[in-house]
Amino acid sequence: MAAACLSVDDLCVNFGGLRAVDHVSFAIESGRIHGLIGPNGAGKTTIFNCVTGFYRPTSGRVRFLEHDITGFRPDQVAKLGIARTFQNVQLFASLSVLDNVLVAKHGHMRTGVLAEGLGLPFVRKQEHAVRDTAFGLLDFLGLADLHRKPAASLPLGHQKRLELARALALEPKLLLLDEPASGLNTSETQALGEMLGRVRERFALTVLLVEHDMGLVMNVTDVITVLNFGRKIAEGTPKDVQNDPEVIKAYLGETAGAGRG
Amino acid sequence: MKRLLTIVGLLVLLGGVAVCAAEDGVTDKEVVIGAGLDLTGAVANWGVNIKAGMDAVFSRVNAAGGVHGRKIRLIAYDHVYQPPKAVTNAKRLVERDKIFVMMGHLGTPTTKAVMDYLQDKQVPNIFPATLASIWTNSGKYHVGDLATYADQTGLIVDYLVKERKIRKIASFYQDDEYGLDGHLAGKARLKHTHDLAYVAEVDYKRADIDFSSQAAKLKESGADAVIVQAVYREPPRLAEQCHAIGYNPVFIGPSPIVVAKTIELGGKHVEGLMGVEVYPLPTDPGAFLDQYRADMAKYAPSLPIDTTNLYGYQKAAVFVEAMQRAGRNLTRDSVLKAIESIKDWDPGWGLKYGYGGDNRRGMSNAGRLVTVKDGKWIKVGDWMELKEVGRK
Amino acid sequence: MTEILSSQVVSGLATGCVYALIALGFVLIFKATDVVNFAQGEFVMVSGFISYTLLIGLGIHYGLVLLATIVLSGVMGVVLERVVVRPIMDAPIFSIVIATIGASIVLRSSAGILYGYDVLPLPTIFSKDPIRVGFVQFTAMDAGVIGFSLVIMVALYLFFKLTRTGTAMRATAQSQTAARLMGVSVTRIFSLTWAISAAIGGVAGVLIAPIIYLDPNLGFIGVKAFAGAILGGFGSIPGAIVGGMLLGVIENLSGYFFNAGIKQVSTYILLILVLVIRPAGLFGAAPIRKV
Ligand SMILES: Nc1ncnc2c1ncn2[C@@H]1O[C@H](COP(=O)(O)OP(=O)(O)OP(=O)(O)O)[C@@H](O)[C@H]1O
Ligand SMILES: [Mg+2]
Repeated sequence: MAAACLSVDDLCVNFGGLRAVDHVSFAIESGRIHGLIGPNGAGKTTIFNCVTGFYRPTSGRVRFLEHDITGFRPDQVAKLGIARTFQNVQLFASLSVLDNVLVAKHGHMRTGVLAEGLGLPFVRKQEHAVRDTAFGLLDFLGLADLHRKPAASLPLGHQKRLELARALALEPKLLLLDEPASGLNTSETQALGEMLGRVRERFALTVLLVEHDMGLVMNVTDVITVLNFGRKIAEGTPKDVQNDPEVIKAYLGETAGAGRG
Repeated sequence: MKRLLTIVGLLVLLGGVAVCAAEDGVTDKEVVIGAGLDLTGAVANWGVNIKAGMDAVFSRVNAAGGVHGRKIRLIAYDHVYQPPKAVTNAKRLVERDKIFVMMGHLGTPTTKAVMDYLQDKQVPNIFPATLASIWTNSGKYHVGDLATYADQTGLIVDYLVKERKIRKIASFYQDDEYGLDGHLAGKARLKHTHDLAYVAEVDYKRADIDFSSQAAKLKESGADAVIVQAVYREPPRLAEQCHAIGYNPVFIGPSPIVVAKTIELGGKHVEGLMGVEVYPLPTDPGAFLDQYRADMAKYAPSLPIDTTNLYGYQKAAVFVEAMQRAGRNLTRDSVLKAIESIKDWDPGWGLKYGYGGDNRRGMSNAGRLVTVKDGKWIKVGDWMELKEVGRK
Repeated sequence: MTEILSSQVVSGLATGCVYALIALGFVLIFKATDVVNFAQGEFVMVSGFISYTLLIGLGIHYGLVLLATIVLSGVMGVVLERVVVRPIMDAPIFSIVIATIGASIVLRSSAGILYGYDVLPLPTIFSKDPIRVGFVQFTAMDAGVIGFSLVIMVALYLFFKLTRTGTAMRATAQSQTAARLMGVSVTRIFSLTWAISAAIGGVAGVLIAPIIYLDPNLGFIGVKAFAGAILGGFGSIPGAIVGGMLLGVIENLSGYFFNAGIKQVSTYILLILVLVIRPAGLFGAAPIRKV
């Protein structure tokens, strides 16, 4: 097996009496797009939150490359190279599109507040470089023309792309995407799928994708882990998973129309 | 059995009488005196110093064995120059600490707030540190000591009109019982004695931080003199803001502004400021003042001698004199009577105290004009007998 | 008439600028951390005493004193956040607000114990002599206060707009979750926010203490500034600035046209009027529910 980029070992998360994640283990190989699926409330977002440091797992460990990141703070996790998007878009609403991306570059600058305030030359040089990369990203995602607009004024599809641009600006090694297609129509979803492919190529990323749109998941992922009620019920290639009776049982009724688009 | 009951009954009765007879705050060895002062608020400079002055007298007296064998203990609480706090403090002093008398209670609005309460409890309000005229005509429990703000303002008005030939006079006053005392007295004096009226009446609140609107109104009135019914914080700032708009009238006010702090705060802007002094300067000669300077050096070495602590010092000195006169049998009535027995009494500074009958104004109404010259208060005139001025 | 009125406006603006600076401090902390810091006025008071000590006690040059006061005041903000607020950051906001009130009482009493409750004059480089420009008359002090405040406000604006840290601070105010994820250390941003708020409070102190004198109760000016911040729409930075300035001018004009009583309540009358017409304040956005 190739080196694991992220591995989750025997993870448990309790909320009061509720066990949202129940002894889940899986590993993602570097360079893969790994799907994490399951019905509503299965614990997908909770796992994201544990990986990115928003929740502290009740037990179990999270490893990223050579680091044990269990219990790390979100900003520490981010600095190690994990970026994510949110199920409900979390942009800096009144900041401009460009500033949203620049925030991600904050941690990459090696300057103090004082040097910045004084506008020292070396700071300015860094500043220019940072701006160029940010513009490059916006261009890549087709948002360059909108860079002055406040993020909140963008339509949802653009907001989702901006969130992606912002995540990419962190220059992550691992990208966690929480339902990137939710709220998008069919053609937008298709475009997103193509975009993901290009992103992986260009940035040499590992991706963990949570998604309810089965078409998208089956298309782009290499491996899929399936959760139900906090427990892992299946894992394998899209084809394997699709035919797994447990998975079909778990999804029964959902595919019939209760699924979220 | 019946006899026993009678005896017990008698004892209880006698005991009751005995308890009634002993005044609150007086034991064989001690007299407890209360004071409500501003120790941390807007006029804390006055409060802290008055307390130090009183403490200096009491410490010296106690060191020499007390008055008729009783040591004097002063309990002072901080009312922050806020009337509601003053009331709470007064209740604590009277009901919990069982004080014999209230002495040197600071501030006109604050003392007015506790006036009725002290009256109800029949606790004498001796020499409150406020010279509002109300303490000279409110019955036997309230005993003022020096020339009132009203009397002082009478002196100011007469001086401005007669000596300086100024007819356009404005009033700048604190909008409370303190400021109104002199303000209204000045208005009456102008009208009845000189057939004049203020050309502007401009008020301020204790919490005000900017006097530029007041300065503008005074300037517009064209007043050549402004009577400042204020304490030490305000005259410097008013003067600054008047000067800023190119307006330079004569500023003159009653005794609360005649302190070193006014000059410290105002610097060159208070050069020429005039005030009324109702007791000698702390630097004046005289046996009483020598004693004052020695006591301050001994008991309050960290404080410079100043009008403010001399104010408290002279109150305590007169009170000690009254306790001496009251004798060993000390009651509230006997001490009030003793104060009234003081007539033509000079503690040793050339000015005499005199009470009697309805006159509840201690020192012989003395006042003299002073002014700021080269950063110091100096006298302009001699001591004068001030005529009583009503507020009508 | 216009002459007097215009000088009234100028001197009102000077006081208003100081309100605005303090109001800015309130708003910055509130935006970043949802905490209303009732010790904001105490930054003004303490910085007054800091500069008094440096200037009178140690006889240091005024320019250095100014700089040192602002820096020390900022340090005080950081310490306050560290010691008082951070340990209870997970407690209900109400408890944190109470803790800041406690801190303000402690600071006030400490100043009283150290320096006494007497008013002290604080020297300034700005003279209080009159200046005339056209028909407007004011003092160098007024001009200095207004000028200095504006410089601080512009500097802050540029800092927030142009620097990376400033952007990170704005981002944190919008979404702590996302900011964390972008590698922004939110705790560091909080510290910095407190430092900046306290430093601006320090500037306000150095400007106002020479005018209204220095004493441990100086911090009560924070109450007025708080009203200014609400007037502008609590949480809005331009609102804090305009609200504070407006308050200073209105106070002065109402004192000029009416009397001290009206002047005293004018603040609150204005506040109520504005809140009735625009409940979110002059610049406040209508409350947005977070999803
Ligand atoms: N902070 C929390 N406090 C309490 N319960 C929580 C919390 N976060 C999640 N849960 C619960 O944990 C369970 C898993 O939630 P989670 O959001 O991880 O599901 P999900 O798989 O992401 O679902 P969806 O597809 O709807 O996004 C749910 O029952 C949810 O209500
Ligand atoms: Mg979810």
